Amino acid sequence: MHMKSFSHISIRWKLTGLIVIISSVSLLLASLAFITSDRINTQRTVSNNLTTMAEITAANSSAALLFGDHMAAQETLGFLQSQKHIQAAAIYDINNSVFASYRKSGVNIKLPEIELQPENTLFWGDYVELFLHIEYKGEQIGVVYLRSNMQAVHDRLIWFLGIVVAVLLASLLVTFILGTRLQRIITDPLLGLSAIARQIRNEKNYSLRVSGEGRDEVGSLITDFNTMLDEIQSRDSELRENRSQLEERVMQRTRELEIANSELAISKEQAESVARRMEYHAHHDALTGLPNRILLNDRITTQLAHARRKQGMVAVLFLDLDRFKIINDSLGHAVGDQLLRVIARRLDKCVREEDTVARLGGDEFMVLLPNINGSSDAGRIARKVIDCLVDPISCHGHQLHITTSIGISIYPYDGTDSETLIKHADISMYRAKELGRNKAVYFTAEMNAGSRKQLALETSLRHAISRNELKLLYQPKIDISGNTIVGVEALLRWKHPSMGMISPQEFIPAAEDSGMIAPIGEWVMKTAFTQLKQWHLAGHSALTIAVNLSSAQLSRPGIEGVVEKALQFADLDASMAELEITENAAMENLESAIMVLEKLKNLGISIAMDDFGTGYSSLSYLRRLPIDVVKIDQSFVREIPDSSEDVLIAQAVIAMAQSLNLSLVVEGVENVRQLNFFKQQGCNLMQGFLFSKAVEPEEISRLLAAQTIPGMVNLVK
Amino acid sequence: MRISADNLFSGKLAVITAALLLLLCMPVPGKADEAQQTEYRIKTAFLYNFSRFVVWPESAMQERSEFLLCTLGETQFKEQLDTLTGKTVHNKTIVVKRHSQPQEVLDCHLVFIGEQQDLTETLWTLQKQPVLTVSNIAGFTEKGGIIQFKLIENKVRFRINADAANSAGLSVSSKLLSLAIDVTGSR
Repeated sequence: MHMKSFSHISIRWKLTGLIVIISSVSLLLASLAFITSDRINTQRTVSNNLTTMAEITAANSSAALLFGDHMAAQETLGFLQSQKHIQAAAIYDINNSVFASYRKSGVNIKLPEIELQPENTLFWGDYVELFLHIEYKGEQIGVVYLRSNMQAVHDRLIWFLGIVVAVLLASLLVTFILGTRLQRIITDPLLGLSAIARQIRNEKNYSLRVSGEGRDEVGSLITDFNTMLDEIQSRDSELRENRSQLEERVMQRTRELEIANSELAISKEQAESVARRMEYHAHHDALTGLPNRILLNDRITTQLAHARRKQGMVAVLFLDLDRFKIINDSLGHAVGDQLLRVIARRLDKCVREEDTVARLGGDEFMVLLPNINGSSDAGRIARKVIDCLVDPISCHGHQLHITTSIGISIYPYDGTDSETLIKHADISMYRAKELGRNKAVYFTAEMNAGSRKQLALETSLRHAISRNELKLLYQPKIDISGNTIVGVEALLRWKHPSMGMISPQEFIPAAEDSGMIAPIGEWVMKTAFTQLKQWHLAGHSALTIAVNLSSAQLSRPGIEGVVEKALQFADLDASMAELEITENAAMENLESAIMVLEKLKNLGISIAMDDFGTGYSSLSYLRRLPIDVVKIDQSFVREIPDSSEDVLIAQAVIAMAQSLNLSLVVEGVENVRQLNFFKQQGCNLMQGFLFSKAVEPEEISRLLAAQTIPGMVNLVK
Repeated sequence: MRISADNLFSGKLAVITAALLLLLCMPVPGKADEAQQTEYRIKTAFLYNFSRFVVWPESAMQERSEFLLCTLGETQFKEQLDTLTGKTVHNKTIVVKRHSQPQEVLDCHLVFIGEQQDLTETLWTLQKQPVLTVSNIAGFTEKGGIIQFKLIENKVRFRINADAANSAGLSVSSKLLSLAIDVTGSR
């Protein structure tokens, strides 16, 4: 409690206090040494004086002793009267009886009895006694006894104590004054720092900065603090912007939907539910209903802020289902999706109330554990999660055993922001996979260096083109009004010699990071355009081709030159090519995206917006983008026509596209009911498993030559 | 001879009683003797101490290897004086000698002169001789003796004739002088 109250004192007073205490202690020690030494000296002086007096007495009284002359001996003691500290004196004869004695007037002291008295000086605190042998010609003839009070020593001690106290007080005052002045050299910048930090906390004003120079630790602390503030400020403003944009978008969409609704004569309640669903959709995974990455990020940030204040701990579990891809590929993605839904439910039930289970996409989940008491808590929950998946899941008549690998990262040890924590949890999840799957692994610092998979990916990506590991598959785009293949979408595949097929979702980020995206993008365009040219030459001259453009490609300067070169390389008419961009890629930097897209359009190329509806782009933004085609994302398509809300969204999107005079392509059409729905809505261009998945170019050539559309065969049945 | 018991008794008793009475009335010879013994023991010590506080001229010291402490004539000193024999003074062993003629003590360093001595002759003989003369005789110092014992309140004290000491070539310690009852002669 005492320590606690001390810890509340300002550092300014602590420093001053320390200075004063240190100087007082050293001064006190010095004074103590000084007094002790002086006391020893004084005692020695007293002893010397006494000895001298005793020697005089001894010399003067020797004859008197020898001749038994008491009077004469008494006279020799007479001079002691002038010595005011002498309390008593005596001369003993050789028989140890008192021969002559002296007592100071008013002093009543019994003379000591002596026998074989050695010569010595005895300090008794209050007084000092001295015995000295009286000798004559080498023969002891008696003893002189002197007793003196210690008044001289005491007086001197009191005098010195007075001086010491005075000097101590004076120096205390001086050190205090100096201390309060000098400690500012150290505390002023610190207090400034603390004041600014407090002001920032109170006002939430991240534009404040600490002024101060100096190259010492405080100086670098200030610099670091300011740098940190810069970062916080930029993040803060980004966050605010995102929030306000999000809100604006949601509001805008709501308004637009209301307009669309009124046009479509839909009831108001339904419109509101659509609005709610839109908002929900922005924060939740469509398949499982779990929070998505955006909501998770938000919650992690909130929990980190909370933990920072409470000095608590937060854990992030990164889950990746083991061998999910095999199930998905072998049993179909309907089974895969069902499986993901069941797993999502199990995970949600498995963890604590306050934990957040989110789906990041694919077979990746994330669990946020706020309020943990230690790393072991996280490990325990991870273990529980693994146990929760032990029971087989029955799905479409299959008994599926699924396991998961978990990476754990913990605030504050493994990262202090959401991005780092997720990254580190991801890395340790890969480690769990390496260690044989169905495991939870804590993040360790060494892993950071070995984000090995990523590195390996990047390294092998460099040789992917030259080693002919990349290839393009093509998915037909059908015009259902004439049941003809009007175009193809080129889809990139990478067959790694040891890792097998790797999806673009996995390696495109690595390619973007390593800069390999440029040569790969160029290769894709050249290959796709050349392939199309071959089909044109084979007689299918109306066929168009769509190539995906990643956000990194879009933001790279000179992309239009690359496209132009690829067109020239293939000797292809630009109007036959279509570049697909995602909504998010365009929104990352809207202004520059508009510029680049304009340039591309000037070449004669048409632009399609992929995955439309998954981002937050509003109609007004969409209007500004020079796009020609909108592709409705398969996540909306999936539950049509069963989900009335998805139906409404699709209708709204279609209405929007129509009002903007954009052509529309429906992606992910899987069954006849979906086909019929969109057909009714006036959409004729479709892609999806119903017709064909992405296939080798030879298969496309065969389909084109045969004039058949695979899905249509089923349709006819 | 037969004596009647009564007579015998009365006669004997009277004699014993008388003897006892006599014994009681007489000064106890032992006691008086004892007091005198003490006095002379002190005086013996004094003689020894005098010799320690007096410095003889070198010639007197070199002549003899012993320190001769002598008495002249009849003195009350008994064996006490012999206790000094063998002691050393001025690095010489004391030898006690008893003489009767003044000429015999010329060799002595210190001489105690008995009361029956003819002072005039003795002092004349020892005039200017390095001999420390000591005596009980009243007026000894006035007559030219150096140290005279005097009993004051039953305590042994002494007087000194500094001039006599000087003319004998003896130097008397101031300490000794300071203890003297009186010191005659200028210093």
